[in-house]
Amino acid sequence: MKISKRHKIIIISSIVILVLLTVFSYCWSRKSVSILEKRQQSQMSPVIMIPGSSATVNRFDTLVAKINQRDRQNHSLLKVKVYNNGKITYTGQIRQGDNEPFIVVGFENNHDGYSNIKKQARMFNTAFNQLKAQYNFNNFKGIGHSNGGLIYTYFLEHYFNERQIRIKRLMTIGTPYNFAEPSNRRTQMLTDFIKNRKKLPSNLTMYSIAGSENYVEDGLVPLSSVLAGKYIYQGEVRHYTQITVTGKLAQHSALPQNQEVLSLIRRYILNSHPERARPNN
Amino acid sequence: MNKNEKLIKWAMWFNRLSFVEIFRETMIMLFPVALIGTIVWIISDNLLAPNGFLANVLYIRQWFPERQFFRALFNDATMITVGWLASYAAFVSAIMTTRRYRRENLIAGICAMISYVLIFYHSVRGGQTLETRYFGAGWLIIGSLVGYVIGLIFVKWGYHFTLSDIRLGSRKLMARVLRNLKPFTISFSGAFILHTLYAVWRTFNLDAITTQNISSLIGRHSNYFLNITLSFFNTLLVWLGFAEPVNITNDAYSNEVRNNLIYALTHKSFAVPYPFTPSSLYNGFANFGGIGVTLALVIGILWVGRQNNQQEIAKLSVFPAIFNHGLPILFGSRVFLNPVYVFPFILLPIANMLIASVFIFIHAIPPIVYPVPNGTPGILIPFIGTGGDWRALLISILLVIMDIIIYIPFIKLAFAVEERLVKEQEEFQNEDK
Repeated sequence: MKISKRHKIIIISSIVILVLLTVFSYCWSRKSVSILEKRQQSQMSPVIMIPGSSATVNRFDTLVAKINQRDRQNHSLLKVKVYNNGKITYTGQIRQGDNEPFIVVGFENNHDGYSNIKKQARMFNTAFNQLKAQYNFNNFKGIGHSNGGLIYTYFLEHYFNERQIRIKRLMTIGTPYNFAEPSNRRTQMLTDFIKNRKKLPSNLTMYSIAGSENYVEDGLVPLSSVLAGKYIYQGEVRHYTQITVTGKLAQHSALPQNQEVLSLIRRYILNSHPERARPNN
Repeated sequence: MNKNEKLIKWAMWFNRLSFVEIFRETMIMLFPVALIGTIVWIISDNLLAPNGFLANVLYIRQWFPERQFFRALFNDATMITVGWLASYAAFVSAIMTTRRYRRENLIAGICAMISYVLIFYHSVRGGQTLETRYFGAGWLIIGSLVGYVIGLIFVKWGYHFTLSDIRLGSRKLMARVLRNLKPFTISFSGAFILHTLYAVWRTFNLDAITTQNISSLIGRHSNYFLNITLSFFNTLLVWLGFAEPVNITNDAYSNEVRNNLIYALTHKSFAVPYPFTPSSLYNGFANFGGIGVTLALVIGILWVGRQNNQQEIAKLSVFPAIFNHGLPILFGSRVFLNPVYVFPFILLPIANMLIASVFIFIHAIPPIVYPVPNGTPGILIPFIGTGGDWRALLISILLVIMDIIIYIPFIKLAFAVEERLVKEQEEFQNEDK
């Protein structure tokens, strides 16, 4: 076959384009693989916490202090605050070599209501993306108090879609999955949560803690509203466990200081708990 | 040569079928929409999206402010071009049909577009969002079919109404419009009935069930046979004119892909548990330059040369084809429903996958395990997906060259058929005079 001028042009321009693209993608590919490898080797497994409505990033100070008192692991505490204009500020820091720090993500807009939950979930997603880029963890645990649990649920259903990062365990404390409504009247939010439940990570272990001062409520949230979490999580995630604590400090806002809740967090959420310290956990 | 002659005869017979002819004309008319639409699509999905190839390679995020805002703008432009292609096809195809039967009628085009949109236009209950899935390039053939049927209705009951009729003055014009009221009503009522049927279908959620069944089929563990079948049906559907292929995304096999990735990262070896996972094999080797290895088709056309029109079209299609968008060349070279292209278009992707898996099987190249940004040029997917393995790049280059060589005789055949058709038409017109 005769090689004409046109054929030469085709061959040369193909080679030029190919080389150009290859050089660019080779650089990108090396960098991407090294980030992936770094993440895979990372030992860090933070506990990321979201406080409820009207609470600030300082909501869990006592809880972390008490846990540190008990397990002597001296977990660091990092507080992340997301402002409505997208600005993110950090207070506190993660100590070098601390593999299980507590990270609290709070919002300037900390109001109640479904529309605010959606906004906060979106803000949480921005914060989460910054955290994952900065600390390179490949797994984490979640705790949400009150509406914080709703933000987590919305986040898991709509934003969380990671190939390399796994949420191992989630604990929601006094989370009103049906707000303050009775169980025979489902809110729009609960209906939406149930509709999108297929998007929840299937290998998640989930604990929903309810407080109860009498037989029906924890002083603010009806017990039935917390129990409605089963319609979302049960059967969709790997394990769903419902625990009700009563007695002293079982009031809604006191739950994060409740002795029983603290031991549940240590036992079920933290890696450093003796029962969990074994490998493969 | 005798065999070739037979093939040409057969292809000519097929091309002379009235609907096929009208569909071809529709594609020619819509080529600009397909080309411009694809280019804005690449800008919004490849250059400005956070997981796009160009965005990643050029580190767009770090130096381009307001990326999201511009992306939304380009996304709108994509929606209105490629995203509404089927309804435009209805418009063009109806006018072409009336013209073919010498009853050229602009009103038929308008009616067809309205009817097509009506059939699938359903406001989702309780929200302002509108489902536009059925207006896109994926339903091109259905749009043309609706246009064809409505064109026939206007041929039967309508009265011709061309642009030159506008000179007749408004009174005569009005009379013409009135005479076209009957076919308009018939078409619109027909569309309304289909609209209702579709609404019933939707209420029982039948459309969701179908997709669920398909995804549960995919969601199971992969097997090799399924892989080939998927590719086969995907290319066949595109050839039939459902111009947007089903994406075999990584989500469908997310478990396998994730296990592969984690294995490769922790063991630093490519002996991954699922070396032939469909999403990576299909996306990596079956799709150079878009569905049906269109990059090879584009280069092949440039290589063969001869027809000036085709050269021009192929040149314009190079850029989209590099980034895996075959739409412009599929329109420009009328690949849809073109009997000449059916074999390479369907079989080459399968051949590519088979050859590539042999190489993976004998460990000549590693399997694709690392994530690849969206819209990565097909030829580079094996390269990036193996973390920059030069052997993988070499194999994909060789595969493309093989594909070009196989495409070339078919391209020559298609050109020969085209030339005959043109000649025939000219003779036909001469007789007319």
